[in-house]
Amino acid sequence: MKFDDKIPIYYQIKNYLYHEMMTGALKPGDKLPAVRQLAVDLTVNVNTVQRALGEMITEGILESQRGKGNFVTMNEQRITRLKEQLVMEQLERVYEQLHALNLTDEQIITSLKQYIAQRGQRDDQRVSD
Amino acid sequence: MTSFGSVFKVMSKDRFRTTSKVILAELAVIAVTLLWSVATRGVSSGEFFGVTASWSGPAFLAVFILMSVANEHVYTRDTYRLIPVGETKLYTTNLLSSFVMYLYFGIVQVVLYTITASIDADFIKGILDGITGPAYTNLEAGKIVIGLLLMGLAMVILGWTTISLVHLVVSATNNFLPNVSRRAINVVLYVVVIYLVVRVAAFMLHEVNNLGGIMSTGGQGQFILNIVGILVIAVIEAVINIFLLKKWVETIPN
Amino acid sequence: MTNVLAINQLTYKHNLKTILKDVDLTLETGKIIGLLGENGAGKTTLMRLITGSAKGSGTIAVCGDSVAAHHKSHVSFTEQLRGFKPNTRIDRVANFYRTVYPDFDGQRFEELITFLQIDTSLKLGALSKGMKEKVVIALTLARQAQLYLLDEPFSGIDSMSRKRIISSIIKWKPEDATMVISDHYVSEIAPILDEVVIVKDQGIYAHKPSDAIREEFGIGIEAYYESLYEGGVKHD
Repeated sequence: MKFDDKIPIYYQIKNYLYHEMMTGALKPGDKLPAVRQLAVDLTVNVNTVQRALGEMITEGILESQRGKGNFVTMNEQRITRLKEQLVMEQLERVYEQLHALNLTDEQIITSLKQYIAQRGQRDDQRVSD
Repeated sequence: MTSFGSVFKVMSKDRFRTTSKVILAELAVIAVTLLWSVATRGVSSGEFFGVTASWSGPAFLAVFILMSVANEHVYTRDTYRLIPVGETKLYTTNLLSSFVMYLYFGIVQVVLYTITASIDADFIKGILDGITGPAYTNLEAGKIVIGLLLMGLAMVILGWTTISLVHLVVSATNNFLPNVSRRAINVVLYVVVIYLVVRVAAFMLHEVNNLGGIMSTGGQGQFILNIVGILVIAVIEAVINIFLLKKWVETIPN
Repeated sequence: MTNVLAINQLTYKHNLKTILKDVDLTLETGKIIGLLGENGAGKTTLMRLITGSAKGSGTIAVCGDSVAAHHKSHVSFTEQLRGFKPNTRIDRVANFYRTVYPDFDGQRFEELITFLQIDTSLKLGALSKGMKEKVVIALTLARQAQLYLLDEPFSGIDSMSRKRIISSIIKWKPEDATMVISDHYVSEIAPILDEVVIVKDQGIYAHKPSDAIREEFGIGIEAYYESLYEGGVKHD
């Protein structure tokens, strides 16, 4: 995995793991690889992985079972909330950037709808090619 | 901390190989010389012993030089200086390793002498009988031989401690001197080195003279005192060397 | 957290030139630390002072012990095997290490040479720069030390070997050991560093956790490092 050197690594590790959960690569109840293995896989420091996992355990997304390892929570509610949160974060970024271009809320919605429609057409075309 | 045995083992491995190579080379040279004689004019009596004895000298010198190179190598290489032992242990083990290898070489030489001397027994007896001078009893002759051996070994140790002293002094002072005048300083240091070597040589000559004196007067006590004297100087040099290693001598950087 | 290294008022002069002056540096256990600085800034010198290969004034305590001779049993340094003749085989070098370092772990060494793809029947003189560096890394990491000092382990090394070396660092660094990696090229190792120590102007110019740099300045380690030379980031 390639890291952006400008963003704290523990934060990027968290995002990576969230992403794995959202795409279903890590399902509720799944066991995470050992800390050192994760560090090797991601080519990062063990301490940084520990920090990322520690924060995720505090958030309740991961559950640590002593002597067994770390597991993705079975609590569907928490996962749903996480997904909402991630979507909101992405939207927040888009919103702020568009806002910075002096677009009003209505304009943002219109452009977004327009974009999605265009994107849908383009993707359809690509599939039919 | 690493044990004395382990340090000794790693230091001696290469030195043993080097010494053995010198022995092989010596044997080869002796064999070639003898074969040459056989091919040209035939081996004359006493030649086995003579050739062996005359090649033995340069071989002794070669081993002495190779062992001192190995000695000095240790002091400036991280490979050895990073071994978890104190400087005293490192230094003494290093010296002992070279000394043991020198003994090994010496014993092989004695064996060679014995073999070749038995081949040329008649010839040697003839020469010995022909020597006119004070008649020695076996005991006296034995004492002289042992005395000479001890003196030789003490000289070897002193030689190594002196070489180390010179090397370590140069190495230590180099840290403190500006880069610019290093060449000039090195010249001065070399002059000091040469002076030291001359002094040691003079000392050796003096000892040989003493030996002559002993042979005529039989002053054993004086002779033993001289050996002790040499060893005391060696110990003093060794103490200075260890101090230099501890305080100033750095290794060659990565 | 305890300290694996505590340096106090360390000064080093060589050939009448001051290389390091009044250096204070404390490193905690269990960290990977990037020692950054230009060539000739004193990174190697700092490591050599810690091992006792160079002699300076001031105190250096490794694991609380300030006797220089005792450091050697706690510190594993990437020495360049100068004590061996070029015709020495790698397995002989390994035997040397096994004999003199009580903490040399043969099992670890076997794993490392497999992972780093080293042929131990080769002779030192026949190795490429990259291969030699891999051998040095394998020997250094095979010891179970408290402090590892890797001096420019990536210089002159192809990117595949570099990746393997980085992976082996993550894999084999004992959890409670601290590892100092010096380099003048940062980007490749930036993700594995807990902290960076920057050597500049005869001293420790900066010592910060790497994620703190990213959070505080919003820039990468490399950009931060470069900015110190351009005077872009105000330093406290």
